[in-house]
Amino acid sequence: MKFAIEYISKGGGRIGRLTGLQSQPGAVHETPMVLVSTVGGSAPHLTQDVLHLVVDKDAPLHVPAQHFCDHVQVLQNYKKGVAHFSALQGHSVCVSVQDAAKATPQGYNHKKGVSLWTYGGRQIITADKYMDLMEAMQPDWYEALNDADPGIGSSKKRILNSTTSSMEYLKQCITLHKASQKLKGSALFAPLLGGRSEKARNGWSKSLMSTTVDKSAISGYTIVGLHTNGPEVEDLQPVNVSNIVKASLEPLAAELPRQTAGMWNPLTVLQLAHLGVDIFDSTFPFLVTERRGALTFPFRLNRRQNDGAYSKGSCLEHQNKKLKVSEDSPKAKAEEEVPRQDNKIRESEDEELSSPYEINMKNKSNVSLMKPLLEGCECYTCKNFTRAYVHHLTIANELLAPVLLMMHNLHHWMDFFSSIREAIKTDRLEDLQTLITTSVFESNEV
Amino acid sequence: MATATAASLPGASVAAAAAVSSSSSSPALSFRILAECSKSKARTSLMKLPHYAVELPMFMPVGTQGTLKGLLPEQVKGAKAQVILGNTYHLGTRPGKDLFQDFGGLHKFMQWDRALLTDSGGFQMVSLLDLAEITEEGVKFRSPYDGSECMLTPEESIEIQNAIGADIMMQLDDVVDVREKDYERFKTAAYRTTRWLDRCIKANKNPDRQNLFPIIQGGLFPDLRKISLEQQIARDAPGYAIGGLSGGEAKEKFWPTVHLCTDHLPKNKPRYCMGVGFAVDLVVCCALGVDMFDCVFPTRTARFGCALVDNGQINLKARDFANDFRPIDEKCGCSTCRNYSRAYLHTIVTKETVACHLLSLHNVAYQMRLMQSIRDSIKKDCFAEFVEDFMAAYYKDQEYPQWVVDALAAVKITLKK
Repeated sequence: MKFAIEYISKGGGRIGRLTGLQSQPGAVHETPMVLVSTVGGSAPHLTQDVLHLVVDKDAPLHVPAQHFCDHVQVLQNYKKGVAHFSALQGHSVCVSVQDAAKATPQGYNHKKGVSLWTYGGRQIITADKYMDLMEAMQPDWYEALNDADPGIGSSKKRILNSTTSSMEYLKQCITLHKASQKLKGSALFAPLLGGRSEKARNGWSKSLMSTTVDKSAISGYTIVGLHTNGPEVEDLQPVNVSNIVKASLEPLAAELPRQTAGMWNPLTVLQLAHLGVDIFDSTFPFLVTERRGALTFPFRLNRRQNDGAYSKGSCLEHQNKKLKVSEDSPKAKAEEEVPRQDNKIRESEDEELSSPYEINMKNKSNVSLMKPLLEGCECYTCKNFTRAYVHHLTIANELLAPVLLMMHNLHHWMDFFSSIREAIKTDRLEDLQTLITTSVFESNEV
Repeated sequence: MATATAASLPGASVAAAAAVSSSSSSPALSFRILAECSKSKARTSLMKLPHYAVELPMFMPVGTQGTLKGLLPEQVKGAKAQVILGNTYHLGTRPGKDLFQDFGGLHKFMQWDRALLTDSGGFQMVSLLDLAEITEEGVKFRSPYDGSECMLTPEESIEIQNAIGADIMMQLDDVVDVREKDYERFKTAAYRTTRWLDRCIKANKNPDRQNLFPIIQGGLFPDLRKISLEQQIARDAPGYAIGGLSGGEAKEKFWPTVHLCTDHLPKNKPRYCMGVGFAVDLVVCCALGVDMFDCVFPTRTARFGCALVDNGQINLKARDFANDFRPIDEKCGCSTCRNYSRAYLHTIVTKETVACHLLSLHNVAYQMRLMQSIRDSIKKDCFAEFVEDFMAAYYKDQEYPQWVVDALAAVKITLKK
């Protein structure tokens, strides 16, 4: 894998170029980029031909090792890697340890190995087992085995234990990676951990840069241990995440790519991009689909107007909810001034989870709407179907509902990232942050 | 419009029926036989409907609530489906006829541009609802949503079906559980079904673009079937359905009833046997002269991890498939078989929704491919050979069920030993 920084924006963020992937030698991926999250090797709800109605045939995938540790045998017999096995040959693959969409039960990791929860139950994975699995999956890049257990409120001792184990795993993975013929074309990423402690994170990253770790084997970094995966990640505020991530990134070589996974909401994604994170996943659109939401947050920056008023474009449905607005107008440096915002709204009638970034298709207001999920959206769902139909499918518990929603949400997410790249190139990342913040968090009675 | 012709009276000779032309034309349906089997009663025809020209015999997958189990309309078309079925009870309840009236029908709502058929809602009511009571007026039931007393009348069923806008609508019939023993109940049902047919015909606002099929009742009683046949055929409909079967009755009783009905139904109109979907049953019924079928089986069994193959089903949950890198069926051209292996499907079956979609797609494609083979063999007049080969492949060691042997023998097809 080759990664080159093309542009560092004064307004935050950087543009990179990812090339030299073993499964796509000719492909060039511009960063910040988003990986298609998968379950069991497939995009959630989307068969291969349907996925190809939404993303390119070479769109990189994110595959958790967790989903395949029960299948190492068959992958070894198959010999062609996990993408091919899942009928997605031609797509490059990044493997991480855990599934970012499902909360990892805490407290199950110890010296013997990392616990991975599969349909068959709990498996304890040592570095040896993990590397066997990597050889069978044949990823383009993968994360070293790590114990990223510490979530919110982990004790110092717990964090220390996790960093100690993880350093051990990292060294073992590096040794095995270098010795492995089968992983010659795969790139190894080192995890960045240390729980929520800035000190621990900074310390860990420093140790990665020290002589104790063979840096030549490391091609990039994955930011882990900020959460324990699952939907709760959505509630993490950008301001909480920012300082911790900065502490992790500060000691590192800037020229290597940085990756993160999890249910980061759009504003947090922008914050992470601002800090120089290059690779993201699509857990957010996936979990929004699972609660039958359709993403509607705007992300198209128009040409700058003198009065600073941006067209709302694809506007959000607030459905008579009053959202909290901070006293300070949310602008410019989103970092410290971002107020505590309610990311999740509970609709009082039916207690359905939603967020200001989406509309919930269970909502009865959709029942006879002839318009698409989002006006102006060019995705397959919006070009062919109405809100009334998707609402009908949702209420009727039909399998086509999550299919159509996943198509829309993934498309929306991909377009969002195009917009992020565009904003960074034109030094307007903060404008994008403002656009979303003002659209989403203004009180607006509909 | 409805006239009783000499050819439709019971006891009319087969010769007289043969003298009738091999085509028919109604405002919303034209039918033309393309070829006939020289041995059995099988025939292959073209039925032109407002939304699609359908090749018969054909199988209709069931898209109960205006969707086919997680498949996009273009995937369903890719599997070669021509007509799909929607359920009036479900759709009438939700989203309801008003929405269909505003939206211009189910075709637009679900983006299906080929043909649609709706059943009347009667069967669902009787099978799904605890307190469904049949009166002369209609089917009385308690709304599952608020417990209030509701009535589905022939007029109301047609009103919903008119709003849905399917190419073919089914009459509301008095359907009796086929295992019912009381002859009188079946007799009442046979006569009432005709009275309800007349009410349905009267209520149909769109005879120019929506066909209404009568349903033949009479349980497993030949005399009652003949009465129903005579009465229903007298209404001169664009096509007819054989109802009241596929409810768990013995196959030995099932096939003679189908055979009797197809002997009497006009040759130059499509015949639809409701609720038939197993491969063997489809092949036998085609031999008996049936043109149209529907069944939830292919899509339902997909949900449980089962894929249809030439000798039945394979359940992909079985450990046997863990390292089987072949597609479900090497002969199948569906996108599941072109791209996915049994081994991969084994890892996700019953766990991920994608598995359900992939299997549904294959199963629908399988049914379509079976019907295509049937049509092709009739065109080449080797249908009898097709049946022999099919049954030999399906039943290992030629252990054919007796009913299959008998049914085929009745139409001059002898199975291999």
